[in-house]
Amino acid sequence: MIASIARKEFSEIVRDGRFKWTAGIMALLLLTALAAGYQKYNAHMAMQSLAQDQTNYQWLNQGDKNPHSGAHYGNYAFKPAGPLAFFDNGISNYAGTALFMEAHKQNFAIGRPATDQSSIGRFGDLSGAMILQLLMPLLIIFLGFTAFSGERESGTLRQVLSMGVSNRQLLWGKALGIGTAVLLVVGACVLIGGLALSLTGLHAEGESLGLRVTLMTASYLLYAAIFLFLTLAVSAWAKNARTALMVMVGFWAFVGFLAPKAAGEISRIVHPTPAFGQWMADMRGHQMRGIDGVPPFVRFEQESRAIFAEYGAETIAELPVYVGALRLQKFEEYDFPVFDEHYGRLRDSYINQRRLQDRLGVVAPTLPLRSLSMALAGTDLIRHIDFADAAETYRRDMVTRINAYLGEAAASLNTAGGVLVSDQEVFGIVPPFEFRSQGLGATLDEHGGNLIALVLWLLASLGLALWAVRRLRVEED
Amino acid sequence: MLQATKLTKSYGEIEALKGLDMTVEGGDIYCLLGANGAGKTTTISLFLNFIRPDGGTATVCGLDVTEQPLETKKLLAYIPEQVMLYGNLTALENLRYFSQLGGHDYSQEEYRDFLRRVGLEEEAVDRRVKTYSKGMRQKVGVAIALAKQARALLLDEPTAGLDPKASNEFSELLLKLKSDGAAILMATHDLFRAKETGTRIGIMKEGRLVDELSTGEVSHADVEKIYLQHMHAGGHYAQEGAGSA
Amino acid sequence: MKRIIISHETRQLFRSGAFRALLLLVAGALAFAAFSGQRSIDRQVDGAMAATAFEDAQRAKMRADTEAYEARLAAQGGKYEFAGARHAPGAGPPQGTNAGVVGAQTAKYLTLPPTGLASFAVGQSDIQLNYVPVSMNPTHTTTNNLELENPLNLMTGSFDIAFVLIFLLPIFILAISYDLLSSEKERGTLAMILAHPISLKELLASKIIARAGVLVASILGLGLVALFAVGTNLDSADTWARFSLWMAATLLYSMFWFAMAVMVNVYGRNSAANGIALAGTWLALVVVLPTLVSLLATTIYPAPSRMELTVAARDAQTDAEKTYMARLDEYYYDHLEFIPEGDERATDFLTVAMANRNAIEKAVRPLYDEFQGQLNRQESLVQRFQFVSPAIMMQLALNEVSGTSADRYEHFLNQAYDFHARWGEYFSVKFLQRDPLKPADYDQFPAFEYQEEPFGTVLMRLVPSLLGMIVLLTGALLIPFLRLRRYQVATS
Repeated sequence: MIASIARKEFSEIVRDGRFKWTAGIMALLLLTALAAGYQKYNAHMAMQSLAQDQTNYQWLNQGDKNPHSGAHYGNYAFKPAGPLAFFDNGISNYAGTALFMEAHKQNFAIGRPATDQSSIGRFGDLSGAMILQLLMPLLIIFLGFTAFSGERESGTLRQVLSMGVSNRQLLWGKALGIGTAVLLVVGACVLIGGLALSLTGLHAEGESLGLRVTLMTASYLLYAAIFLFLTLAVSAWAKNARTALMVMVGFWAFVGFLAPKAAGEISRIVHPTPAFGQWMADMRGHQMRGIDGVPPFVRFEQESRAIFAEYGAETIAELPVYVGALRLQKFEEYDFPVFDEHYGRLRDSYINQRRLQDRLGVVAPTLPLRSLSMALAGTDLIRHIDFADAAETYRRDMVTRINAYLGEAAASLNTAGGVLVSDQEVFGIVPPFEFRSQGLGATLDEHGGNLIALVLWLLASLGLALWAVRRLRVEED
Repeated sequence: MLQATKLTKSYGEIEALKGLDMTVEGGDIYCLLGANGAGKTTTISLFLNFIRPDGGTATVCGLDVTEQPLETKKLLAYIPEQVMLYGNLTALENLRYFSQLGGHDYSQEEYRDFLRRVGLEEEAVDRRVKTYSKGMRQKVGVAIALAKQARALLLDEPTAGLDPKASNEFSELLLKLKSDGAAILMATHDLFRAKETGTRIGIMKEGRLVDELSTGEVSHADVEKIYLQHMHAGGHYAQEGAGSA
Repeated sequence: MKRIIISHETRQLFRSGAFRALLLLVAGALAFAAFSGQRSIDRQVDGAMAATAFEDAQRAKMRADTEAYEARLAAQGGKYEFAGARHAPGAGPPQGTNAGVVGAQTAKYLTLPPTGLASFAVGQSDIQLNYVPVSMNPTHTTTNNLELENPLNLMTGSFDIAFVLIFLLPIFILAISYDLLSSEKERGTLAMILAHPISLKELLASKIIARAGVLVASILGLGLVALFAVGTNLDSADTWARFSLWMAATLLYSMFWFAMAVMVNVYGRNSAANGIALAGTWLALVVVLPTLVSLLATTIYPAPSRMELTVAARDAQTDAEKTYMARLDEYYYDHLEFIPEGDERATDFLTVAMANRNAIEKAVRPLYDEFQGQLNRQESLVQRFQFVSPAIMMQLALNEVSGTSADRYEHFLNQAYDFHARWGEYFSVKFLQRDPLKPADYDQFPAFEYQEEPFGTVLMRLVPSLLGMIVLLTGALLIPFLRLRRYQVATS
């Protein structure tokens, strides 16, 4: 029974000229988006690994110089694209790609691709994710809004129900029929995309690609099902087809366009991000004042006796290590908590904003899906923060190693004075930078709620559909 | 007052009207009978200039409807099978709106009077129309026609689906309008009412007027007999019948 | 006659709960947008002030040190001398006497002031920093700092008035006019109306006037309220000129969408079909086409990689360091007259660093020019392709009107670059001559005042977008006008 309803629904849809047009356009856009996304992804990855190798090489070959000058010269961390960035570019356009790791300063990743794009870039990227998040629901609405309302208007609903079909069977059959038609379009494109990828490959060793793809597929299927059942519910509930269409299009515009921006704005109000100037002035002022109100120079003076004592020395002359290096290292360490506090404040505001937006997914299923999709693609905030953390950890390790070396190698300068110029071989004590992501585990911990939100949305829309068909009106009033 | 001359109209392959000639004078209630698809509604739509004729002319008080569509519409009133009104307006508001569209404006009291004259219950006048029964809507339709002071009325199966009492009340109203000198063209399936209310009866078949009768000269039984004869006859006979009318 | 229909339609609109809700939603969205636009501008202004205050305080402190030094000398006697650059505090003349230190270690913040309408369209101002630090560091460091916005929010974009107008307003317009004729036809009232002496054209025009009258008047009125509530420089003619242009653009854009509704309606399909056609049109014009144009621009004129640029800059730096004596020669060659007396070439840390910076700047300049060049080519491609979508035209127009466009920012940056050159020149000359900075010199530092573009220039840039919208609107009106004759009131 359900199968024959589904078959009828499916063939009706597929025979409709509108389906051919909309499906054709969507398929074309999806393939274009996937191709463009893959091209961009590949170019980025090629450039990223080349640039990382080059700056690692530059670090090792910066020439004979004072090791501290070498630390000033520093190194760069380049952010690799997420494993599924070709499908969902996430925040990549708006997050920096290059992070300078130098002595004394923690830096932001710079080089946001968006700054090298025209202002029209702000309309968004044509990506596979964008099409599935925004266009696919509209396709579902177009195909499904007449499911009940249209049959009611044409009077066939009376006929069908007089045949002894239950309302529920009708719902399942229609869902199956429409779902198949949508899957036909989307599935074909995703398959073509996947096939093309399996031929060319992704740079995603150790990124649990299989699990990512599986979860990604599941999330989008959930999302599609939410829209499918909502459309059917509204179609059954609405007085006529045009009301059903308007309600669903209104809902679509709300969840797809209004809700994300409103959520973003609300999250900014609740968890404000400081402006650059304010933040910069605060942090630098804090650095100068010192973490606990004691300026670094004063603090070093105060602590010097204790520090010397660690080396069993009373005076500088007795120190077995170079005092300049000691001071450099201490100053670095005095700054660490200041950086942690201020960068942490910034990061907390970002994370809290994101979490709040995820929670607002209660009103719009697009929010949890979007968040989940970026996370699985490895193009989300967590990944970016991961990267920035990795770079900062590397930077701290780098300066510590260099200062330690300087301390030992230049001990004689405590009394003699002058500058140490080392062989460039010394820079080999710092291992090359390579970004290893934290993997999927941390991501899933953070995004379990989103998955649950999608499931709840599905249950709610399913419940709504069942409720609506139970009180299905056969006649227009 | 209403005159069709060699009116033809086709929708694609289908010829809906094949050279219709007819005249309805003031004080006439001309009832158009015929099967579904005989061209009754097409004729009315042509008088309203809702559709353009492929040939021939339709005139209202001597004015060609295609040449002076707005002028002729001032003289016409139209009551369809379902008088469609704005559901969230009251009867009075609907009446006022349509009257103003027709170029008339009356006082509040006058509007009430029109509605009273068509027999709408006093309490219903200020109620939103969406709660109305079909009979009540048809009454508002007549009130609109009254207020418009139309010289000619076009009625498209106005009593279909009305209960006998409402149908009877509607006919009473038509007779009042007739006595005021209006020309009334009414498409209907109701032979009984056509004979009762109408002054003349035209029988249409496949886009042609095949017979015309004066109700004064025939009985109920005759009307039915003649009608059925035409319906059962082939096209050839029908043409002859038209000639003999 | 029109008056009757218009007043009837207006009354009908207000009777509909959906319309009242929609109007409330528009008003709510606009109010929220004005509020958040203002927040974003306030944040920038506060940020600029904090940064400026911080750097000014740094310089003030250096100046105070020099004043104390001068006073000490006046009391104890001695020569006012130039201090070498030091990492740590020490005795002797303060660092504030060293022009190289002051010029390199403190930054001068230059601010692009928001226009009176800045909160109407955030545009690119959440990405570009509207206050840039200028020091003796290479030019590109001026633009390396970015506003600290959550990248997630940057991706999503701002909920500003421009968003409400470009994305939401068309939806509201289409929601109240997608069934302009079709609903009357389906209800049967169309035949009732047209049985009266009214032409279809008159009816359509009246219906549109009623809807547009209510909606557009509300939007423009709310815009005015927003201007008074959150606008700045209300007494400046520039603000009002910009606001007039904002109104013109909004009116054109709204009318375009009303015309689209009319166009779809005259084809005589049913309401549901009209709804699909219009929703599809909205999606195509507002969402898909802009992303396609953007994709086209970045595909045809891709920006060179920032990563590549970084590598090149570092190569230049290593090269400069390894051959710093040669760089120094080159540097002194550029500043021949400033070779200090007695010493042919100063090889101190700061001089070498300045020489290196010079070398790096020279090396990466062409790459930076390429970035700017590609960006300009992208922008001009967008300028040419804007005509495919009214949404693009509207966005460009609103950015322009609000002063948050790429062009105005470039105008500002060019002034910043000029100032960078002046600032660097002032300090490097004094530094190379080992000319000690006196307290009074602190008043002589180069000053910056942003020169606003002439309004005519803004207007000229607006012309294509506005003209494009007029042409599109005319087309959208002409097609239904021609098509109307074939409209079927009654179907067979």
